Amino acid sequence: MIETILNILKPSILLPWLLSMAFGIFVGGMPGLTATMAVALIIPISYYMEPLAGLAMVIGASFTAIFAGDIPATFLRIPGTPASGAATLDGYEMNKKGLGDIAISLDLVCSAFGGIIGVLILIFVSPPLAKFALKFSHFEYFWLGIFGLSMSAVISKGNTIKGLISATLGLLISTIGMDITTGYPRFSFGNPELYNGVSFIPAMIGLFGISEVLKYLQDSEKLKLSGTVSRIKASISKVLSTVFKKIGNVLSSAIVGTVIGALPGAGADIAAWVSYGIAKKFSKNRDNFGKGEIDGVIAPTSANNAALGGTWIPALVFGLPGDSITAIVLGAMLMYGLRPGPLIFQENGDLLKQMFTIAIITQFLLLVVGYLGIKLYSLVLRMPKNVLMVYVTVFSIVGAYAIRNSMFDVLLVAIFGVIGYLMESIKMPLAPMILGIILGPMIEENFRVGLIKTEGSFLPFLERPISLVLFIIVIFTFASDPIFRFAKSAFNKKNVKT
Amino acid sequence: MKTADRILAGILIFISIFVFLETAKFPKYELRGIKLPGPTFFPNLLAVCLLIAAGYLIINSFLIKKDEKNQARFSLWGLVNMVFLVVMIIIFTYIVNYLGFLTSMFLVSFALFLKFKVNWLKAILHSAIIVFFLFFIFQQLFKVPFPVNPWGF
Repeated sequence: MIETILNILKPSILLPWLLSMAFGIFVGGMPGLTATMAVALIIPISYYMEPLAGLAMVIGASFTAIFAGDIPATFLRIPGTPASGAATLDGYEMNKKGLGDIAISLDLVCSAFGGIIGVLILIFVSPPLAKFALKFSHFEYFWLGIFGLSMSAVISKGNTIKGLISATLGLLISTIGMDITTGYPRFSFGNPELYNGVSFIPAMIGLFGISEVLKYLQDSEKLKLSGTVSRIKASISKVLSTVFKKIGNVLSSAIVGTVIGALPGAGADIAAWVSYGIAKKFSKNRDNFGKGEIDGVIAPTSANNAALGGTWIPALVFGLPGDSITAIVLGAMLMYGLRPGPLIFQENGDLLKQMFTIAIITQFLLLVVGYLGIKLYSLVLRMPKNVLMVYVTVFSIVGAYAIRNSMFDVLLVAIFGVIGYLMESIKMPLAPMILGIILGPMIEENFRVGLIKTEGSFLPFLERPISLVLFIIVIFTFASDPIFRFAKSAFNKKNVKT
Repeated sequence: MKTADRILAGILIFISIFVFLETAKFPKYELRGIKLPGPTFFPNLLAVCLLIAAGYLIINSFLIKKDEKNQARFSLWGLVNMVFLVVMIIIFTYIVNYLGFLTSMFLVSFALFLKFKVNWLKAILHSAIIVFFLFFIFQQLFKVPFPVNPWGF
């Protein structure tokens, strides 16, 4: 083990590894530049290095980029990466209360914890988890999508009907573009820009970022305020003690994140939303979620980094990419002379051992690199609010454009900004709409293909064991609160009578 | 919120009707004479859900006795600012084809800084920083292909 660590920590590996992590912080923290982009840009450079250095760069950049996405999400309400969407909810609310430094420090520590748990699961339970993931067919993926969507009811508790309307509108937006089975362009009105559908990234930037700018602009007094962050001064001991107090949430969110990450096509963004919903569902402080609740910060950030470990499971065991990052990494592994698949554990056992060690050490390095990254960001965020709001607008525009190099996406940012502003003014939650847009294609495709397979019969959706379990969980998610409320009021009435 | 809910219900009904009318133009999906869920299936299902939600909102708005007041504060100055921001983004998407991305971004950010009460010298400085940042980081480092003007920038 010591020999492995010493072999990894030699300068020819450590230096590019640390540089790629700094690069990951920078890319992840820029709205519009994703972790996938960071990895894609690193691959050509890593080609000239030994395979282990290349893998260290890829692992380092991906984990740090996913964490860094939470920095603008917390301070500006613009998710830096798609996986940081859920971090805008409670992290930003904490920042509004002057607790942004605590929120982002918790983000950092929980990202590292989540990452470690994800990698440990990857090391110890890869083969059985990968086999489980392969049992998912259209029926199971449909219920998984519905389960993710049911989180919109949990997220918008107290306003459930508006949350569900928001999610349904998100699903409807996801139907724009080429139909999956016939190729017919739906709701595109002859506009070729709409043939590929509405990307959820401009929607997310508009709904969260621009709508927030619009809210500030509505109130002239707010423009006179100074920066959003005073100093990053959260004490390490306080943050660590909070994390240890909430260790149950960290562990459960990381496990949920890893399992969802292991499902091909799911990924870190869905993992973060689902863990947020689960954490809220089982929290004693569920009414504080969305108002700056610490558990609401911990759950998504633990899950999205853990999900990265999860995405490596089908990639290594079967050569199936769990998400776009592992799709690129699989190509890179072939380039390094590695053949992902069941035999990789025998053929490249030593290299895999070193790779897993790198992934674990990355989480510790993340604490240092991430802390320095937050410090740098806090300098930028200390500028006056009227100046900052223009920067937010500019990076929202650039972020939306850079994803698909489409000016139409910039227009979408403005449209979604106005929609988001109007929705918030009537207390309609924004997050379910994003969930709808993200999960829409998964739900529709698997629902329709499943029905085509069964010639229109819905019964097979409930007959397969995993489908049935997921269906029961969905029912529980929707129905548990009304049932508990009814039972509680009945119990109270009985007590009053006696 | 009663009025807002009724307006929302109206919008949902409008969206649902629009979806039904639009999906009526979509092709049917049949294989060997068997009708299968085609492109109309999912949007229509969602439109039905929206109609049900609209019905719920309307009924609920008549059943609620206490009306929660909207806390949002509006001012003419704020409204003008909001419209200005949205219009500037829309204008940006048009002028970018003639002036290029960086020049357009300089002009738009400068206008926004001025509108948001930043003095003109600082506005020029910040706009220049933005453009240099976009040029070196996005265009040079990440090779994001920004639209260019006839002069090549």
